[in-house]
Amino acid sequence: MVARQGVDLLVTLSAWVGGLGLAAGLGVVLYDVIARAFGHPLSGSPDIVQMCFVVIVFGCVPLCERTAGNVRLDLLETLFPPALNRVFDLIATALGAALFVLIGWKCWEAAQISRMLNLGTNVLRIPKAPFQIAITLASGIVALSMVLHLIEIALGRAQSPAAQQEPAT
Amino acid sequence: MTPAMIGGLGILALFVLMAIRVPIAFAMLAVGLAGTAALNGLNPALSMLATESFTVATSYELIVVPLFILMGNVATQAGMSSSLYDAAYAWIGRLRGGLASATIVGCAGFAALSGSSIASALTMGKVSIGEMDRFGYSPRLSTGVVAAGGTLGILIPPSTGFVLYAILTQQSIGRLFLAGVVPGILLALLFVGTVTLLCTIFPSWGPRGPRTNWTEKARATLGALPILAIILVSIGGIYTGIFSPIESSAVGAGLAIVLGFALRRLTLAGLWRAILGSGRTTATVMLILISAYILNPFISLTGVPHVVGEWLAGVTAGPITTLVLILLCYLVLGCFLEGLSMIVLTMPILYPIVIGLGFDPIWYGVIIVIVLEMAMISPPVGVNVFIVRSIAPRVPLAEIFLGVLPFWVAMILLVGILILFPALATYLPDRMMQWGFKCCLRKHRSF
Repeated sequence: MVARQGVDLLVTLSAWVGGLGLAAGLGVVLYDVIARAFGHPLSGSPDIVQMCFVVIVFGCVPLCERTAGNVRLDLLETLFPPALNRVFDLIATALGAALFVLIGWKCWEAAQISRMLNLGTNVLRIPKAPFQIAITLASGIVALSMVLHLIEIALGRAQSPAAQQEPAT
Repeated sequence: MTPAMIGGLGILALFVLMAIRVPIAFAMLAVGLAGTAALNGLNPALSMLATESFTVATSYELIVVPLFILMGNVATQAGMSSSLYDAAYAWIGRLRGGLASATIVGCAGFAALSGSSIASALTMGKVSIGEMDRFGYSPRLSTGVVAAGGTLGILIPPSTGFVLYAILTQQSIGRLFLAGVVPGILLALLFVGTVTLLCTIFPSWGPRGPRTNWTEKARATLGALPILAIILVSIGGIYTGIFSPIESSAVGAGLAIVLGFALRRLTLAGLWRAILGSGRTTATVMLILISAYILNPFISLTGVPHVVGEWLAGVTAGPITTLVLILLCYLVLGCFLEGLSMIVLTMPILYPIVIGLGFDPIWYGVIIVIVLEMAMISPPVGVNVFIVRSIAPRVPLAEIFLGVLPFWVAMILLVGILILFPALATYLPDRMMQWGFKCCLRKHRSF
């Protein structure tokens, strides 16, 4: 399915950005520790780390969703007939998609306010707006992936969460 | 409708959503959002969604979560965990049930590298279950020991359980890490004692392993030195005050990467897998935490914690009975809820009550993390048991749960010991923090 491949590509790209964010965060803290030992700490390193963290979290959220990484209670699954379980899957996916649309939308609005007020981090004044837009983009990818999953469930093509294939990362 | 009734309905809706397999983070987000909208209006609720998502995802202190997870993942990719098991095996594998005890020691060592209980169970399980099978260990013991030993991952620092507790309750991560050391070692010893007791009662469960000579012992110990070096530098750095927990997590992860490459055990592809795996686990944990930050204001607004507190005060005779009742609630909840979600869900209601009764928040943090550990092996949703099942698919789930049972009792015993002797958890952080404070004063006076 072309749409699924396209969304998986976006998920992979997002995960790569998240992974690079983690590598960058690690590098910054390590550089700060070593430089401090030589009397030259990296000024404003917490600001950079904070922004790396938002990239890690929201960069990897699409991968988490796609690989069924969200914790759910599977205890009662066997008690319900398959058709009812499919309805529950539909509800869970639709609710998730709606929530991520809301997060994306509100973060987009927050980004406009941040840009208008020129909001930035405490020391280095790294602008917050681009990172809020990044959350919007990541939320968009999650929502897109979930909508696709909804269609797959409706068409009876969805795999169980545990059997979902991880996109190539 | 009163706010408390809305709160009750919200909690009911939360459980219904979880029962129909809505991911726990989504269920908490939806209820928190809808509940706050019902009490305060739609706009404040929606604004909270953006504010809290961004605020939690930019928390400087929380960077320890991906970095400590990365440290453990790199150690796994570099095969360092098997060296740890080999060393423990060389020293105590000859004893009755020695391989099972070596697994516990290996889990405790790996726990000092990784903040995740699942990672500990998965990593040590892959290394040890096959070996125990080879020596004719009872599958009940071999799988039970890995599932229970893995839970040490969240008690022995670094621990994601402590980090989340610290963030939710505004406590010091460093103090909580220190508080987990003695109970963690004590629990590992209790587990080893449990293995010995079981193998004394049922000798066929854990036959003796092969005898190893001193050269083999020395070689195995030498092989575990990289792991011991990482633990010494990163975790020792926190205890001696050289590093903050954040710096320690980065130094530990950095050291694991450097040693992995230096020993030619880590490849670039392996490192990238470790990074992506850490990112994915971080996203899972952080989504639950963000949801908690949306749900908690709603719970506070409803006044439910106050109502529950008053009810508990009415039905119980004193602080200890109230605490025991709360712990019993956790044990029951642990049978149905995943550990971290259970803590995040209940903390806004139960934490103010416990602290109001005069209990030390650091000590309570240790108790909570032990309860969380118990939830990870409690039937029917004990996540560690499922992890072990994925490694040993031929062992029936019921057999693993039976194998875990004696270790579950050992955990109850530890909770009892900590209630009787709270200083086991609080002495080290109090002492070390005092020492650190005096060092600071001395440094300032010398200027």
